[in-house]
Amino acid sequence: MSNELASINRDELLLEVKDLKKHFPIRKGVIRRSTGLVKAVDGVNLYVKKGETLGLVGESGCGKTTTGRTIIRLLDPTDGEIHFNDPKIGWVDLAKMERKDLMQVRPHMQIIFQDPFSSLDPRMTVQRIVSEPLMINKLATGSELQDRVAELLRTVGMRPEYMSRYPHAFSGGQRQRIGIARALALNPKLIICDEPVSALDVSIQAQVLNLLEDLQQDLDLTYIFVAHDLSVVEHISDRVAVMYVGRLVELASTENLYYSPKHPYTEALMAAVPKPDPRKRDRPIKLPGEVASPANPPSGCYFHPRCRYAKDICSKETPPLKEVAPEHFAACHFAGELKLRGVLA
Amino acid sequence: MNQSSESTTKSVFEGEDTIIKVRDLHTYFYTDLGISRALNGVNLEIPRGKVMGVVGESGCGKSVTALSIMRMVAKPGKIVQGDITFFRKDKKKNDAIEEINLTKLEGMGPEMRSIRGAQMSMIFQEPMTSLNPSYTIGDQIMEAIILHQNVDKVEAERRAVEILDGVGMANPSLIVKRYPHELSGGMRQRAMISLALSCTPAVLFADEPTTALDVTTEAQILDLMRDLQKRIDMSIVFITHNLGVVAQMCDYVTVMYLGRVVEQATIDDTFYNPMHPYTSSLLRSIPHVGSHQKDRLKPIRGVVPDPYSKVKGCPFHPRCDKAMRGLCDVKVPGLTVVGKSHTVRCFLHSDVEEESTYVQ
Amino acid sequence: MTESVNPEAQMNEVNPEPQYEVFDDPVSDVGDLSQWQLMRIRFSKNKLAMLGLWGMIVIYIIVFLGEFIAPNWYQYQNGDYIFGPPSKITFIGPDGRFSLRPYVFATTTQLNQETFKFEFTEDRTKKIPVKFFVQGDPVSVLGFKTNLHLFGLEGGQRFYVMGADGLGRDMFARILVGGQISTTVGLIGVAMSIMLGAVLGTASGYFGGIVDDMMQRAIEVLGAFPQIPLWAALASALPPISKDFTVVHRYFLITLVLSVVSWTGLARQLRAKVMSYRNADFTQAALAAGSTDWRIVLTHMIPNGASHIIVIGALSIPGMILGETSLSFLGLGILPPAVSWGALLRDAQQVSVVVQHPWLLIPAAAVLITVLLFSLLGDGLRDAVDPYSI
Repeated sequence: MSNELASINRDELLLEVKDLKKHFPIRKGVIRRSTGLVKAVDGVNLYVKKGETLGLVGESGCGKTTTGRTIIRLLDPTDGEIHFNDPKIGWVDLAKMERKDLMQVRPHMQIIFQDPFSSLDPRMTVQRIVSEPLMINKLATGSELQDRVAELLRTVGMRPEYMSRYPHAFSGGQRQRIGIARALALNPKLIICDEPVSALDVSIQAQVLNLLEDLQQDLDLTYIFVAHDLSVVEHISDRVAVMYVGRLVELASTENLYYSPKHPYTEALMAAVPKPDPRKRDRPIKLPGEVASPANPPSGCYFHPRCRYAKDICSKETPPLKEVAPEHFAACHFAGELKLRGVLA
Repeated sequence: MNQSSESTTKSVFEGEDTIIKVRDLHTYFYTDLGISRALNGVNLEIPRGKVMGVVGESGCGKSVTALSIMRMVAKPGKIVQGDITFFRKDKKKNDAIEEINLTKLEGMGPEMRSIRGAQMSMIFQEPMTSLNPSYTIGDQIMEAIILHQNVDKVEAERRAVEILDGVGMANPSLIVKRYPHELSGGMRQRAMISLALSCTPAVLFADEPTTALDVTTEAQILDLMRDLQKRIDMSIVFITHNLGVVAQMCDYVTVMYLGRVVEQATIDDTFYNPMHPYTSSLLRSIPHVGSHQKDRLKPIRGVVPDPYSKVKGCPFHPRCDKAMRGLCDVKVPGLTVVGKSHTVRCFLHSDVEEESTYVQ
Repeated sequence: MTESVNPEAQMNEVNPEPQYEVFDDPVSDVGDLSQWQLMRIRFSKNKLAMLGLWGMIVIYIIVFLGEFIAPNWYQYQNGDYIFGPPSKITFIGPDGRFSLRPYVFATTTQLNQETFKFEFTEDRTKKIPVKFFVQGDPVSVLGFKTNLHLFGLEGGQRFYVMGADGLGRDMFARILVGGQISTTVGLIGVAMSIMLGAVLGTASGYFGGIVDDMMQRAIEVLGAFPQIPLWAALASALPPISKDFTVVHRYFLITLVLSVVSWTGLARQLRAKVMSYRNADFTQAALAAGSTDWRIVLTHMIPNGASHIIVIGALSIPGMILGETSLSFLGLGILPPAVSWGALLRDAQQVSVVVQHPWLLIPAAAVLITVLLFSLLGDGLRDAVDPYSI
């Protein structure tokens, strides 16, 4: 994919992922012999521009969460390259870095989690939680630390007076704010938002989404927004990547991806979103069957058994992710030829 | 059981026949922390043979309403006041309507048990809660059939296969021999639906049935439910917080807030002419897929008050942008008919006032 | 490092003015309380657990002041009172009227020439008052030597609240003193188990992989042995009591034997907890912020695991107490001259003895009460530890 990227100025990019793989062994029996591989992420190519939001969507088990966590090296990749444009030291390949060298880059990449309960240590006060990243990196102590925590809490719309409280005192939305404050503590460039609103009630979702948008503008943040809710992703993302069984099937601007998709899976996904409008009930495309297992995927294009446009070649050859229109990538043999419907069809 | 008196089945929904009518229902939970007032005077009607959505934030009493009607509220919960009338249609007696007040029946008594399963059924977000892991899918469906219908085992198995086929399960004769954990999430949901439909109930309560599913599986299950609803001609009460699903599935919508119904309307009115500020706030707070626009979302300020506290006046007034001082924070608006098939509980649209809705 | 994240530069990047709406959601009133404080509140609301706690405190006080509380020294052999029954107490004074002061009858001992057994006859006319703080046998209480006893008879006369054993020793005194070993063997044994189990369980859970596999297999092998025979085998390997190997040595080795077998359960439960915390998002957040493994263990694993360790420990104390009792009952645990409840029960092994001298079974009641109280305490702790149940 890097060749096709010639049109994009590399200085505009923050992250470029090439052929990223993360395989988990399946272990069985007394001696825990490895009996197979779950190819959770199996050759993902993508790039992220500075200051944008890249939505990463797909159905459960498609590897979107694993991709997000592997990019910031919470998981060690099996193979591939993760190039990160560090504001100080320039381009580095995170995939090749030793754990102790990663410490330099880590502060620039943070993560926000889905579950507002398990993401905060129940035994720490809010102050300890938010100051932890600062303490780990020895960035502040004493009253300076306290001031910084207060400032971070104000930034996410919480009263600093609550600093001495424990997480159990707060509602789901507030806990999510605390988690965001913690992620902001190190002034990161990139934040992986791992389903940050899917555990929240609809009205709280809106608060958190607005906050994320405000923060992005004011603090010049770049998001990789991992989610399965396509309406939320459309709302917040500049560009969207669609994953299916560990691979990227399409990568394009939100507008292009939602309204003129190039991959049949994206088309089916868009057709399946329940639109909050009772006057638009027509749903012409129905997707049969179930998502393939990443431990035992089908041959060729992983989507071919469910694809209504599949031809012989689809079960034999794996289609590469190629640029079918400017900055519109799709992994389909017929991406250029098919006339697919978008979300409004 | 009373005999049908007048034309009590006439519905607020024009041209519809009511199957269940709930009047002033209060369900409280008596916990160590105090009384949790889950339902505070719910008034609603379920139209026969139609899909009605029940929406609201978590903690608004959507699920408790369904459980109360099914008489499945377990201790420390208790129905403290109100009536639930079930208008049962007897196909054998020339569609004669029999009026049954469910609140007068024993929750676990024989009459209620014969109604549950045969007349009313329920499906949940997590299929494993209603499927027994130690029996095969077939055994569980057959058990339900034998319990409510007078058939032998062979016939029951034949019907079980038929039902599984009907919910779009590939290889139904193999699936009957499978255990729940051997199925995928979507298949389990189908299995649970077939279990719930094994006796062709008149009302199906669906409590967030697709929330845990992926969007393509969700679409399949929604298709299936719509299909079955037409085929069996049953009423579905669809509890969900996903307004997209409501728009796609429902004929009518009931909006709940803090244990009360605040608005009941047709699906079109709900989305295009919402009258209660809570309904319109909910609609404004969600991103609308396919709208091409990236307007800022408008969150509802604050949170749902906890059900242990009592709110003076309209329960929504602390979060309402249109609240009128001296009125909304003092008096409780009553549920009033404001238009064709449209009732709302708000002083912006009527001056009907209600006594405090809390039971002492 | 210092180049890429300069603290000065960082501080100025975020605007200090609050620029976003503040959402004033209600915040819980108990928000200032830590998990430990919440745990204490929940625990103190549990009446049975509080009974367990206070009951155990009382028991510990009684057994450690045992030599002072009992009227006789526990090793004093009264040749005239072999298998003597509990003394009868009356509240009718010598003047025939009710009095608050208890009296005992004077007892005379005679050897029955036919059965060769001692027979005890009370002289109902002679009532001796029971008095507080009387002089008696020299004893040492918590290191202090004293002649004073909490209660007893004056003038060198003796009475036996719970009768006497085959050597004419005061059962009451022996039960109290025996409790010192029986109630601490559990504590010390559990402390040893926790040290083994916590280190190995945490390591197993946190690092996983081969460490974990080996540990789990070892635990399975250890767990496959029948417990009592394993204890017995280990205990019988201990050397006999001698000058170099005193009862104190034996006591510690017996607790070691008990904990060698029981650390596995603790390690298993702790491993499961640690694994769940290992995968919790807050650990991932710390990793993402650049934390080292050791820092995570110290700041997240141990504080979160500590309450579980206490609960698991408290719940395994009753098992330890019963273990000591069984071993000593079999003659493999605590050996004379040391006393423990199990060792005392060893005297009650023969049915014929028990039938004639049922008071020899009283130590069993002591075991029962103690185990029950500890179980209540442990259950209460377990119920109190859940962090989200308020």
